[in-house]
Amino acid sequence: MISKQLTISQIHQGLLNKDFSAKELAEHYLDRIQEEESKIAAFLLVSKDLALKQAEEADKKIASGEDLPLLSGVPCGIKDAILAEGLLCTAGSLILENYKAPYDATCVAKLRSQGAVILGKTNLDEFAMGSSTEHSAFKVTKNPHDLERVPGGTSGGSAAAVAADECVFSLGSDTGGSIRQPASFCGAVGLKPTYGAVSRYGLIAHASSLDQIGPLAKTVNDCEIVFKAIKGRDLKDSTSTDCEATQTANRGLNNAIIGIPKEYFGEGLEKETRDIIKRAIKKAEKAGAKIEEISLPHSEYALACYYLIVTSEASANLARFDGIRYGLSEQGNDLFDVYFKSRGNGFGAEVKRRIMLGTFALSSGYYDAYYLKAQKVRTLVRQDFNEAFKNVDFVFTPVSPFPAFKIGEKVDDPLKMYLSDVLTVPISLAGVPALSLPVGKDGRLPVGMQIIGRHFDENGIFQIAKEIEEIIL
Amino acid sequence: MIDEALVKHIAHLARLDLSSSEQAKIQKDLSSILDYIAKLNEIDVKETKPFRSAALLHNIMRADEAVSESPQTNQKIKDQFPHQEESFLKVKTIL
Repeated sequence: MISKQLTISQIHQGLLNKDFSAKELAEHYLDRIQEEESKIAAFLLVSKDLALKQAEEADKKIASGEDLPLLSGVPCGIKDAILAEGLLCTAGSLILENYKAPYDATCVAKLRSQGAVILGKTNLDEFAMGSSTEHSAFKVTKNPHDLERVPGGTSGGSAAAVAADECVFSLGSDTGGSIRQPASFCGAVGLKPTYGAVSRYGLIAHASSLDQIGPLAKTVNDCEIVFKAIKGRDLKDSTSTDCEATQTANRGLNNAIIGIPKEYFGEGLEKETRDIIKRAIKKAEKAGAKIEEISLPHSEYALACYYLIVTSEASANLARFDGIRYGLSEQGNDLFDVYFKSRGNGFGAEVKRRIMLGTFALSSGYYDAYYLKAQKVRTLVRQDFNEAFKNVDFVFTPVSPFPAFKIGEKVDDPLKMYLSDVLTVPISLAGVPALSLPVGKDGRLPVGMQIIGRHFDENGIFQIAKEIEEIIL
Repeated sequence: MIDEALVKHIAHLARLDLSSSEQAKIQKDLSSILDYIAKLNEIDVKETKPFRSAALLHNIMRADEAVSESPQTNQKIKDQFPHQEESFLKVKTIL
């Protein structure tokens, strides 16, 4: 009998003790997917054959008595913007509906080399553009805590699959909150690593100066195990690095100084969410942390700055989808016609909107007033964090101003949808790491607290998050 | 400030086929998003340097050597070509 909500360490012990085999475990999770998918719709593809084959390999390793890596036999889901060789990779878009990944993303190769079992590819907003997973061209994923609500986005499938126990952990990607916000909405633990900590090779590019791959899991410890498995410098991504934190907060809650930025608790934050976060902060204080009110003065400009940068980079990155080398290729009279029709028919409404905004911001006559200005504001946002981290070890904020919203509530109003990212995008612009930790519920709906650390101080975040996880329960 | 002609011009630059209803919706959406973005005009950035991620880190160098992928990977990449002749990618006439 395989119990629910197993953690990675429990599975590792269970496999070593022969309580269950990796194959039984994979079958258990494939059954879970079968049971839950008609309600949740977290997966775009279930890779049953691959999962069973990988599980058998893990079982052979166990039988041979070889050292067993922690992730061996552990079933996971991979966001469908991350390439896994041999499996379709759609990025949630019609333009890549039939695209089969020719190679593994570095993070997937690293998971495979540890023996992790890939159950399938999880749903996302098309090209990771959105905040609810409603912009997927294929299906609407439901929040396991309330099926009438969104799971958040863009890694909504990854978060919902973890929350519904359809997998043990998953990989997501975060450009402006796409791991943290769905983790918060679904009650999972999600980490956006420091920019550069995890190789982006094999991640379908959205905004290259912001994109990071990271884990979603049920506990902080599981998140840490997966992060350590996928991080590190990769020759195939020149922005990846083995950097360590120059100043580490490697000390417990007891000695930590935690900054609470007043700008994150102002207008627009729902009262229940505020109360839950404030209670968590109080508990941290009781456990010995020193709490200080701080200011990140450019926070209110971060969202406007972010949407110029993210769309500008996306408009350039998505130029590769032109109907020539892969993906949808419409018939046309000439080359131009092929471009226009393939892109016109292949991209959904939100992707077109963002390509248009980004192309505008980069176009002759508007570049200085929009893109260049945004890059300058980005410098100021980053300076805010650098200044704050001179005096505090961590910054605590809500992840989202509100818990999961209703399906359909914001999908027709892009600005309203964008505003739901207001508390996560500044962190992305600064490139610092942040973890979403579930710290309470508003009715049925989970609420996550955002724990932000210095560049490359993921270890400090894990340590403090584990302590808070203990005292919140 | 976002008029119909500008939307058409941007769609052309972006190589996007848009129906007239898509054009109208985008014109409306971009206008409201840019109204929000106008918030950035409140801050003075005359003295601020634009963000460059390269400025935060150091250059990471490697030998300038060609690395070839395996023939299997090459084949898998070619398998994705929408139009192919022998082992070449086939495109429409350019000139």
